Amino acid sequence: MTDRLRECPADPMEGRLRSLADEICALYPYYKPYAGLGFDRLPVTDKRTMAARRAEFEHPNPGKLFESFTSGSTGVPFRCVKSAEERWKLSLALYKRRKRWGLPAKHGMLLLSNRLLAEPKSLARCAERLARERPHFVQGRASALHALAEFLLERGIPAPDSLLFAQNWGEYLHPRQKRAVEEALGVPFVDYYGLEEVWGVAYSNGQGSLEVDEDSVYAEAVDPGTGQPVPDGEYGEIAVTSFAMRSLPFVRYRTGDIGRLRTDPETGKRLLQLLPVRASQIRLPDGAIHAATLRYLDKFFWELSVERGVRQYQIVQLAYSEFKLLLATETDPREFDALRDKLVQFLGQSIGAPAALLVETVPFIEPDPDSGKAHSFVCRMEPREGTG
Amino acid sequence: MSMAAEALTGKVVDIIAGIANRPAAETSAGHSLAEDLGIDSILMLELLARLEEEFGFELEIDDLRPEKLRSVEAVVRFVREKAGS
Repeated sequence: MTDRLRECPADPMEGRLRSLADEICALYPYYKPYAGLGFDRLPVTDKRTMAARRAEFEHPNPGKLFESFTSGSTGVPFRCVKSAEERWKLSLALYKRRKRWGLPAKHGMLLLSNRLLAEPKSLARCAERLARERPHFVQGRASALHALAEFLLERGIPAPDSLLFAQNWGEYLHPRQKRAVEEALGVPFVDYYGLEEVWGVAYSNGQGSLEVDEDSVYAEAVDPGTGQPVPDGEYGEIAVTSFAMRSLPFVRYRTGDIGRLRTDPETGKRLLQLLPVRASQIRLPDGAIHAATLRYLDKFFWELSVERGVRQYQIVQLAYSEFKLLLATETDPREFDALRDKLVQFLGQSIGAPAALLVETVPFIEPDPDSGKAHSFVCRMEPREGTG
Repeated sequence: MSMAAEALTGKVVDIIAGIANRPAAETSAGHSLAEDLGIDSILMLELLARLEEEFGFELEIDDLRPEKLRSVEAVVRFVREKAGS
């Protein structure tokens, strides 16, 4: 049990977690052995466990489900499902947070493409859309928003007065980027932390800290080795429990991200501080594109995991147009010729030039020594190569 | 139910049915917005905007709780409270 719940047993969160524990132990075969033991005795889970024992985590009467795919920072392909009501609840939670920044129900949004940094004309087109569409908020990766901010500042282009805020999506937000975006757009640059599995986990508050959305999730920092909660304020792997998700329960679900949690003494809100992870960029001769574009392959790799027993994958950039695909599997590499051809085409379209790809099978993909994670994309080019 | 309450209920049902693109006569109190009427997150925001416009209130952060907006009946109750206050 975390320090916070131990010190305040009357905390309403304790009751919610107890009810949730009772419900899931009654409903899901994986949790039945833990019935009656309480929330803090439930095991931590992760993508690998849920994928391997999928049937034990599936709701007995799920109804119509919408699927999506993720591999995130672990290279383990995973199929997410959500019911219409779950998507609706999660969306409402997102809107509720955005409303704190003044967003009306009827609003316009500009979403920045992942390819913004790769195509110089994209920034000009984006600036034109900003002026023409007059959105209430702009959303995109911190690097893309930063690029747009620098473009606007260099050319003295004012932002429309319709803007209420800019929102970061899926990248570590550097203070320097935040300052530039706020100067260029004249609005707060708010941060967001979430997962494809459960959507929103934490959002910027007015003081620049990430505040956990405890209406939607319970967050813990756990020791990666033991799965036990670490004391408040200490770094550990962030594990989340979703109150909305039932088609697949995400309870003490390890995110793969390292951070620490503490309670704001004035507001009583839970604040999350993440350890920054170097952003993954596919390097190009004249720029870079965020490796998140490879998310389009998540479903493809999930199918590979089911059909060919691929446990993990990693795309390694060796040179501008040379890549290696590592697959953790016992399957013969020659079985992946069709995969190689498909991936070569995709990479070629992404980088705008013919790509070469070598497929290599391995028993296991080594995690990065700094982050401890086996990222689905890494760049092994020398720092002096390219502009990335 | 008073005439005013009946008129409010009818108006809310009309709006919900319009957003869900189905006849009001086929939209019943117990219908879930997401599961039965197919009102997804984008349509939900459109619904909230229409309700604000029609009934002259502004949504507060605390209004945005799933249980207040889960079904046709819940939305009618919610609008009655907001419009009344």
